[in-house]
Amino acid sequence: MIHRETVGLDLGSHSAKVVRAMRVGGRLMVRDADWVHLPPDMEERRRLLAAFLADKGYTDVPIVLGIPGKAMMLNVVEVSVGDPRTVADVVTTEQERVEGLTEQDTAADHVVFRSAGHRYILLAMARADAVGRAASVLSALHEEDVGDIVPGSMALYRTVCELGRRTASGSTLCLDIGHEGTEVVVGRGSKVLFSRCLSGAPARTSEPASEPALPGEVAACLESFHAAFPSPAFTVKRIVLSGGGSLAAGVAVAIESATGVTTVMLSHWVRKAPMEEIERYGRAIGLAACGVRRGGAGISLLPRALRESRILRWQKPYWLLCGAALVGLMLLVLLGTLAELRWDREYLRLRQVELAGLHALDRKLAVTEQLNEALEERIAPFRTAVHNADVLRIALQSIAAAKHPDDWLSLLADAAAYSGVVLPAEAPLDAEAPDRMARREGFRHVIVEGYTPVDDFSTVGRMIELLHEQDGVVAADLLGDDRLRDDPARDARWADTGCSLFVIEMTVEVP
Amino acid sequence: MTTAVHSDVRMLRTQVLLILAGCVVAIGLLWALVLQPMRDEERACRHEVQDLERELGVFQVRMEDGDLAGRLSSAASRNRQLVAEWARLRETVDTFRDRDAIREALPTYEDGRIDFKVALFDAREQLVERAAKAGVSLPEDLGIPETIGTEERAELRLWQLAATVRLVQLAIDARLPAISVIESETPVAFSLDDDAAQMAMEFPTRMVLRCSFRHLVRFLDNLSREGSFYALRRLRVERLGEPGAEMLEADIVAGAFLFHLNSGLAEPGSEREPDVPGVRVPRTVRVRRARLAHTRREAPYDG
Repeated sequence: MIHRETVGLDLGSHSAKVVRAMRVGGRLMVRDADWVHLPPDMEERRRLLAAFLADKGYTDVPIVLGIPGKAMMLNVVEVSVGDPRTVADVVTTEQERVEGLTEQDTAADHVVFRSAGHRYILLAMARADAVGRAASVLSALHEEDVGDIVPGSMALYRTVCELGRRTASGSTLCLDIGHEGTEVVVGRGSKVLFSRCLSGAPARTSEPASEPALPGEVAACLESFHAAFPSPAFTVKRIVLSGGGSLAAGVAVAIESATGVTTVMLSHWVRKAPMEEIERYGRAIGLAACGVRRGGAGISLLPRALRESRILRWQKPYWLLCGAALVGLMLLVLLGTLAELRWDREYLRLRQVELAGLHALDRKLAVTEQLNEALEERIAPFRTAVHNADVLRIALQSIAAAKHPDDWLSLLADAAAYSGVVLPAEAPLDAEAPDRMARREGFRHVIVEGYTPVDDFSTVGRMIELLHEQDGVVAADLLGDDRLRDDPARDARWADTGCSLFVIEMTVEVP
Repeated sequence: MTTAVHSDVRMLRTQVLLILAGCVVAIGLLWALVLQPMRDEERACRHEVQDLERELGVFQVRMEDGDLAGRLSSAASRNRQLVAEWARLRETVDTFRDRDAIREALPTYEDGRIDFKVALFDAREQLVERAAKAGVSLPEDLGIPETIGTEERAELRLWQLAATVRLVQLAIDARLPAISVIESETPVAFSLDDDAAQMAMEFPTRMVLRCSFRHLVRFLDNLSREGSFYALRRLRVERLGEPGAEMLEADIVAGAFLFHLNSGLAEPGSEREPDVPGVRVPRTVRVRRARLAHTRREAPYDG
């Protein structure tokens, strides 16, 4: 879990140093730093510490606490290629081994990293009671966000690493010289490789460089580190001093002369010191940096329940956000479906209106056509009545214009009358009798019967030709023999004249 | 401390689980109660649209011959033409324009039978007198039986008599030398609306005339004039005697039209109108009327 801003709390034997830091654009920014003297009584220390933090306005900021080196152990185990053991196996084995040796429960965490082409497991194991004390301090200070608990030595190395100069190669040894002891931590790049808590007497600022044991112990540590990491890539190239004890005069010189490695004070090592006497706050700065660290999770010794609580508390708003987002997404889908449904409904309504309009038009058309049909039926006999008179007039005019003067006309009749069709008075009413047909259809064919004295019927032929030329006459021709009427009286009357009978059927249409 | 931490973790776990469960329940409820019904409705809506599209497709196929609006416009235009033609025809062919005056003089149903006989007698007397003055020969009777059946209506017979008398009068006016036969034929009814509430009657009369061609043309001219219009239904003109003879024998059937008849002259079988013996109703009229009645039931005109 990474916070935007944290407070690093370095609890010493006589004082507590606090550093408030945040990360801006990837760089660690120290916003504030302070310290408070602590009384020996534990309850009083907690009360005073809580009041101090409240006074500084740090109550809402997560606090990162460090476990002192004497209460924990940092082991770096190299995992060689082809090792059948898993990381969990290695960690479990190491933890069981240490717990067997110390006969104490431990809280452990580990990270796997690569350095100089080798794969290592950094295993941090702290005494359970020390972690419990630290956790209770955190819980007493913060109810909501308890921050984190990390190894103090790692925090120191992080300060050296983040605020110091960029080193091209080699390892860096950091010394934190305090009242109760000295911690040694060696790292390469950003990775911690080695850590020891020296048992020698602490350095005191009032006794400048009077402790000959510390340089020797540092030199021994150095040899021990080189023995564990013999590769030249891991050779220690520099020693950085931190802690209140390092401020004593001659310490750096003594250590440099004992180890033969360049030794600098932290204030000289950092690119830009954020405060006076930065050596006093080296560990606190590192603790704050661990809270706002980058590049993935580091070592955290926070108890499992507390860590889970912390993670769940951190996750809760995200779960809420995630749930709200899912519900929102669902609502979005609903809205989309609703919009689509409304569009479909509107489209359906429009098509229904269109179809209803077409149906109405269709019905209207059917009704109008039925009305027209009814009107046609109604008009037909009356139209025929007028039509018959016109047909007769055209026929009479045409015949008068076309008849040859030598020919005699003996009969003029409409086709039905010529055929002698007469409707019987007792004909059934539903019969389609010819006279009813005639009422509906009217005169169309007019029969002209006559006699010609010309044997070759040339005058009749001429008459037919002239009839064709008359307006309204669409056809004129001799009537077929099968349709000629049989009239002996007529034949008797005309027998002595020597004339020949002709019958012409004219088809007339009123223009 | 440990108990408090564990309790805190449990509470936080519960909270996270509640958040997840609430989220799942909310989504489930939205899905089941809102989204699913909406999708069902949408599916039904789309099916309905498909059905509509199918129906519209049928119209599209029908409209390949011309859109409905255009066809309706043509039909409406044709309707106007027919209505105008009908009005013109009614004006032209109405033989009894003075029907109101005649109708007032008609007898009531009870004393109609006696009046008819009296009218028939009077008409014959008058026609004989006029024919004598004009030198026109008439047959013995007017071709109308004096007796009326119990089921017959005197009003109808009187209109029939009027039609015959007018036609004979037109023949006398045309100075036709002789009328050898007069026969009143069976009247024909025409419905003027869909339910036969209004009827027109044609009273056809057959006459056999003997006249010259000139007289015949004058007579036919009289028949086609407005106010004395008779529908010529049959015509047969034959020259009589030897070649060169001027006398013609014309056998004609001409019908007088009477409009504005209603009660009592409906077609046989009608529920509203009684059957009228002696009146023919063309089959086409009955078929059309039945079809229209059926259509009216099936597809009412909604305008």
